[in-house]
Amino acid sequence: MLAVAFAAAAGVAARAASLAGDHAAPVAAAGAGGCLLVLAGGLAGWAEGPAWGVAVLAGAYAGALVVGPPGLDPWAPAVAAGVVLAAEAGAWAAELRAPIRLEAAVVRTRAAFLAVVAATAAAVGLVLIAPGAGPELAGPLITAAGVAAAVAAVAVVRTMARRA
Amino acid sequence: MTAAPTIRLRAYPAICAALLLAAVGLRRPELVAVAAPFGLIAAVGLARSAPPEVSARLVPGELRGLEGDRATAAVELSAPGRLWQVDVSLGIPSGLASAGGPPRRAVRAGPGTREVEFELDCERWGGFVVPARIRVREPLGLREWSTAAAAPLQVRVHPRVDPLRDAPRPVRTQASVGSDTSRTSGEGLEFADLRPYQEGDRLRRVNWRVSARRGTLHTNLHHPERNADVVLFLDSFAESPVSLDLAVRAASALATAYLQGRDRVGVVGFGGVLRWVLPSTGRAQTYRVLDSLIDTEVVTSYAWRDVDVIPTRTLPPGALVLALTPLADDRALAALAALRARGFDLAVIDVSATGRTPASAGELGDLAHRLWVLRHEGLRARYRRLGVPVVEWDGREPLAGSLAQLREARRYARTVRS
Repeated sequence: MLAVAFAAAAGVAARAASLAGDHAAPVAAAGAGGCLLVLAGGLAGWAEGPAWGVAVLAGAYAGALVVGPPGLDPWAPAVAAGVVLAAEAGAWAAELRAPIRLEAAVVRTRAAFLAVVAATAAAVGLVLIAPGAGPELAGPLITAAGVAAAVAAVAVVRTMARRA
Repeated sequence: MTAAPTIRLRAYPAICAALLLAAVGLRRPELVAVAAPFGLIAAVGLARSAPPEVSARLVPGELRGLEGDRATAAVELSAPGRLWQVDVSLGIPSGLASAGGPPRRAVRAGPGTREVEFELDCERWGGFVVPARIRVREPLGLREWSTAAAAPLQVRVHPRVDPLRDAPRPVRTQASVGSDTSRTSGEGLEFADLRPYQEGDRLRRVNWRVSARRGTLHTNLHHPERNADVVLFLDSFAESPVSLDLAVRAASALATAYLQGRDRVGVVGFGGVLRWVLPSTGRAQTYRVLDSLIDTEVVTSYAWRDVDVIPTRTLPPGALVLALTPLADDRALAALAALRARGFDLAVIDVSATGRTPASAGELGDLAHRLWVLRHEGLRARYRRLGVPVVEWDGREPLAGSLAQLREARRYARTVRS
């Protein structure tokens, strides 16, 4: 789980650094700091570590947006998903440092929860930035939102059919 | 149930607020997208947060076992609705150990009841209280609700002892039927003597061979089989846990052996706290005695106690008093001397483990150890002069060996007295 958290944090840090252009070094350093906090929290069972880590990562991303190009970042939904995934997976990794036996159903449920949270974060981010995006971004985003809505509708119908 | 906020409840609203302020200040809508999931989790989580309806109890409420056994206990969870994640944990005291992993499990529960099983290794004898706690995690993890199980698990672990074939026999027997051969004559199996026929003697007791030889009728006399009273006197003044461990192990083996022979067994725990079990017999008494033994603990006390504080009924006349003592505390020594003076059939098993206890480092340590050993030898000699047999048991050899020495010493002592 710590690997998932670290990978998500590293992805966000990499996006922030790539967005920062000429100021990539300080942004990458801040991102690395955030990654290290997530890692330290997971390794030491320090529950606050991942929270501080994602706060630093979000700060690095904000800094990258300031010093980067003025246009809307099309990767913002992915960054939102990555930040939330790093926070949740990091917190779970910190919990797991205390010795505990997990039932398979709990692992499955929490893994599914992580996936749903990340997907929801991406979807919400998409919805929020789509109106402000230009036609070159809004088109694919709205198409993706339509596909997601269709998939969600099919899932809802399937669930209702099962319960009936 | 007690609610405790998690780091999410403190951090997520703060991260969301900070990112939204940054979005407004920097005019970057991307930060709203990053902030929104944290705000959503906090808002939805708080809206759905409510104390979970769940109760927990331990089944069974009490466990018994022997040292080295593995016991299974379960925490029964009852919940009317589905619970996302319940962490069930046991507080394992020293002397027990969790088998097959940590004593904490994360499970899903409800609706209805389900049992979460734990296996416990009984590592040492004793009476243990094992509390259980449950912690319910909300789906979005903003709060955790915790509570304790209705009643803790009581675990009673009896010492594992080698069965004794031959325990020291009391000099005097009692009135009830048992497995000891009484010194008196009566109905029994063991041949005692011959005497001339008297009116009322049963025909089947006539010894025809002797009658034919002597010309007059003679009948056989027998020793009746009777039980005996045995009181185990545990000196728990001493501050050495080794001595207490040895005393409890020896007392358990002796009590089991005597009770299997239908003798009446009682216990007197003579220490900072006075405990006793009245002499009785039967299977229930076995558990009463063993429970009393494993509850024995050293309680430091400076109050003087003598034999008068022991209830009279715990020391029936003619009882064999087997004292298990490290011969360390003057109060216990004085009480034993008083018992001997009152005519009790007394034998002492010294559990001081002098042979197992190494001297401390240095010249002074060596000197202190030699003085301690000398003092013990002096005390043993003093008891022997009083006619009380004393043997030492340090746990390295089987108890049966020390008891054989005790039987020999008692046989010799009786010969001298007669």
